[in-house]
Amino acid sequence: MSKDATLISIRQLSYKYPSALQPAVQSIDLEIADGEVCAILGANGSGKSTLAKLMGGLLLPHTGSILVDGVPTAARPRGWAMHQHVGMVFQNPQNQIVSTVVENEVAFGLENLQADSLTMQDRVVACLELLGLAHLRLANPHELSAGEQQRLAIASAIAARPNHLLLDEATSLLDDQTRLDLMATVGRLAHQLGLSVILITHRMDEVPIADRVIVLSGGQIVFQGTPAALFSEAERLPSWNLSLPPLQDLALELRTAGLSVSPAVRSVPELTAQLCP
Amino acid sequence: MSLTLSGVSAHYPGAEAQPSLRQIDLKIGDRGCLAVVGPSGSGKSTLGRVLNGLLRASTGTVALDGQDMAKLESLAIARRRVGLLMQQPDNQLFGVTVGQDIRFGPMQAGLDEAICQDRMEEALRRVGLDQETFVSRSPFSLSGGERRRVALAGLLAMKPGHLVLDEPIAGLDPAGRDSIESVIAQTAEEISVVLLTADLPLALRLADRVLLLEEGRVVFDGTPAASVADQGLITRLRLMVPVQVELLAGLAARGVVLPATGDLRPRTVVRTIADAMAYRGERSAC
Repeated sequence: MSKDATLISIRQLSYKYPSALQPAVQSIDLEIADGEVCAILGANGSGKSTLAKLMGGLLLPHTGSILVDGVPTAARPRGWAMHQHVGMVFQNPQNQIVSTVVENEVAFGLENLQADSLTMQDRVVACLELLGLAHLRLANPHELSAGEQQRLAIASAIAARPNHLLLDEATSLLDDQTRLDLMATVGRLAHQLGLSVILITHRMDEVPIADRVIVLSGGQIVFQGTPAALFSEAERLPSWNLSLPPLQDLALELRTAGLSVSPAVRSVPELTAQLCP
Repeated sequence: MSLTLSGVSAHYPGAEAQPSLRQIDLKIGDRGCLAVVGPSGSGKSTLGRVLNGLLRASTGTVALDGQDMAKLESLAIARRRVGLLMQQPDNQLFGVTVGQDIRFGPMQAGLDEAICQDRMEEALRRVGLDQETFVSRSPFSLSGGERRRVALAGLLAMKPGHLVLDEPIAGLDPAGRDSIESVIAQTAEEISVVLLTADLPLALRLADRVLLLEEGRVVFDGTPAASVADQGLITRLRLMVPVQVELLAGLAARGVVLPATGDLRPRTVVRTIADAMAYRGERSAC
């Protein structure tokens, strides 16, 4: 498949929960390509988790369509087969744990996909190593720290070799360094394996690894562009209940205090140089 | 009101060989905000459980107001006096309405209905939730920040002497984070708050004392400003150096001398840099 093939294609998508007055997402048009890291940003209630569930086939569109690898999500059989297309990891990892041994947890999805045992062994080990969990292979997932459980959930999702990896606030319990390292790993995976990554988050400091940023507000796309383009729109962020990452926020405050610095600054040394030319 | 740990080690059932806490000595006073900072797996959550009696120390003693917790008639007493907000506070919400949820603790403690009502109203005020708007709603219909404020209100309604908060702003959007941070700052003026977090910038915004935890051991105990002085340690603990600290170090390396205020909150740092600039009558810091 060519590098720029559109693998997730969303047309005029709307969805309303049965008990809600307003649609959770409406009139979404979006295409996500092979190997692309696409961050979907938005405050609580902006519709980003609903969009994630629609892309993963957990919810089906009311109007419009979502094609994943060329097939509408509504036309696919429900259940495990979908995980080979879209691997999903959610905020609360405990809800996803089904086994009492770490390596079985990673193998669980593969068993459901009826992989042979050698393939399974290799993949389990590789995925655990990738997420830095190899030393916990025989531990009980329920006894891991919350951060380790989140990494385990990602390892389990990747094991099924999905074409798309959907991370819905999947790093919220990790410490910052682990979280940003993991994001870097995810970015590498995307580019190496041609895996498209959909990163649902409200953490602006995860945004720089994305090729493209989509901002949702009130169920609609209100911004689409590169991370740098988003940072230079600092004055629009509060209306979407988003805030700048700490570095850009500090730069903006220095600028407000009268110093000549740019809020689109990319590193501390760059900011230092702007203050001390 | 005090909470004192002497030589405390703790492990989970079946993990005797790998204690989560090792030889902790710690005295927590009656007000202020102590941040316990460390990477995931360093023992922060375990410390929270030991502080409120959910997990017993395997060695050493935990004394609540001078009384050995192990000798308390019931650990329920410890849990009333030391409130614990868990990392996933949704697990702590179970009332049909916000009002019921917050009244639940005081009711269980056998207080009069009128007192429970007062406690609930006061707790809602403290966390900044309007009573009329929220009291009859289901906790599960609220936003993440609101749910966390309800869980906090439920703890405050017990009038604890200590409050332990495990990653209280994780997963919240900016408005939710701001609301929780201001509740923490206000609460810490009246009772002692122990903030368990891997978020060093958060600790610098709120804490007046910082403890750094590594593999269950205390490796630093002191002021927030001193906690970031050893950058090698911060890196080893996989913590993020707050950007304002990095900026000050970068400016110092370029020979910019700024007055040391001992206050590393971003706003203060910006003011210090801006004042230095005004003094020099320039638009840049050097």
